[in-house]
Amino acid sequence: MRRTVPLTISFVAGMIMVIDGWLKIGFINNFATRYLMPSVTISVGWAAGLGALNLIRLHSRNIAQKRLNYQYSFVLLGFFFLMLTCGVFLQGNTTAPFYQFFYSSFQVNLSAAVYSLNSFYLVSACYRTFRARSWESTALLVVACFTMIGSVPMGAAMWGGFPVIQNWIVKVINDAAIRGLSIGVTLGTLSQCVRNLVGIERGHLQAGE
Amino acid sequence: MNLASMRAAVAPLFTSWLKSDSNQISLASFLLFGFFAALVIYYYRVATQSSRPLPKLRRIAGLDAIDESIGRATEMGRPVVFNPGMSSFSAPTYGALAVLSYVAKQTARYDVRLIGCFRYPEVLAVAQSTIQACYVEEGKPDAFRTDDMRYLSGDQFGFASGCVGIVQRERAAAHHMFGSLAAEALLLAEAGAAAGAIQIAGQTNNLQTPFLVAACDYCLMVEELYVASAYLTQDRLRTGMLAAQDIIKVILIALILSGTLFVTFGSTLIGDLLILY
Repeated sequence: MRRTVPLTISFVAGMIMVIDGWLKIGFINNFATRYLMPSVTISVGWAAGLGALNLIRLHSRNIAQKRLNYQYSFVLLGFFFLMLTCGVFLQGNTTAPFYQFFYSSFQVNLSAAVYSLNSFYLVSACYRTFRARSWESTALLVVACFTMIGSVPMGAAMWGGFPVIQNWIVKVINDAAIRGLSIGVTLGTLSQCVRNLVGIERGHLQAGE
Repeated sequence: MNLASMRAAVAPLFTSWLKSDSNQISLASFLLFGFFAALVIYYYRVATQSSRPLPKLRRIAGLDAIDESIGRATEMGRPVVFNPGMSSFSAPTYGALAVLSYVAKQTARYDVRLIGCFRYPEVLAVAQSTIQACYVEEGKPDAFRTDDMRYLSGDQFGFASGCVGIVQRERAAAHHMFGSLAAEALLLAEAGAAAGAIQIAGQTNNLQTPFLVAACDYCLMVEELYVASAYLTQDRLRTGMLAAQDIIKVILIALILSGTLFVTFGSTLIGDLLILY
């Protein structure tokens, strides 16, 4: 029962969406558009509450039991309730100046700061990877050198052939490989969806094999 | 006969029942899906008859390394951190949850702490119940810790920084990243490398694959994520699905090669047939 009901719902909802994607069957198209798709938004909305509860429970316990770095839980819960109050109760909701101030001054900048760390991590990842320890890593190193040198103006100044080689690597070899991978991903996705649809894939329902 | 006249000729046959899209690939994709569905049914029948052979799965080092990483975590007494990706319920997330169910069984068996980092609460809820069921199945329901299933943030980089913090503070021995990853992939992988964790990544975003290949110990190449559940469980039904998938892949490769040959000799017939309706 624990598996049968979710599998049945998945199959019926999935088949309706498949039929709606290709076939013109009035009542099914209508049902999918008017009821099924909005129901996703509603269920996700409910799930957001679960996330909030998880967050509050975990960080309240951190504070109550004075776990390591529990001070940060104070900060997190403080801002959580501040943004919740601003977003829900203030006039204009998420467009209220007070909410916008916190969003633009804190979240946007912090996100940008974390994103910018990527450039530093890129260098450290390259440093570890581009070592000629095996035939494959040597090939990677050589290709990376040509691609990097060909991408910067200094490379073209040294030798006009660098940008041509870089362009060939990116446009021919890289594009072909990426397209091959894309076909594999698409088929894999299709296969995963069909497995879910017909109930062969049950890993997400519980352990049970 | 040119493309426009072919379209005009076939359109009346399908207009009343088949939807068309802006790319005009509705018919081709419908036929391909129909053929795939037929293959699925055929291989389902094959898989349910144990006497009939199925193709063998080749060795995938990244999936074999899951046991190795959990073994390392057991020896070191440090946790395994599992990240099921950045998307809500989608095919990569289901693939990640299939791996998670295997990882949870292993961590329960060897008494290793498993920490889950989640961006979407709906994924958290499903993953939590999956993991809990795995612990019950292994006879260790008390070993499951609700506090280790953590919803971090709906914001992409809020989630990433939360995950980075957990990996480094908890000094994870193994860091598993499966599902759908985006620009935060490198942040997560480098955090794991700094913490000295064995890192295994399996995701479907081509743009992030080079970063993960560079930063992780093992990286599943895109569709291998979808193979994971069949590979880890050695389940005949799932293996049969992979066989069906490979047949479609052969057909697509044949289409690509024949299309290339036709275009080389000045004909667009294959391309025209694909965008007929």
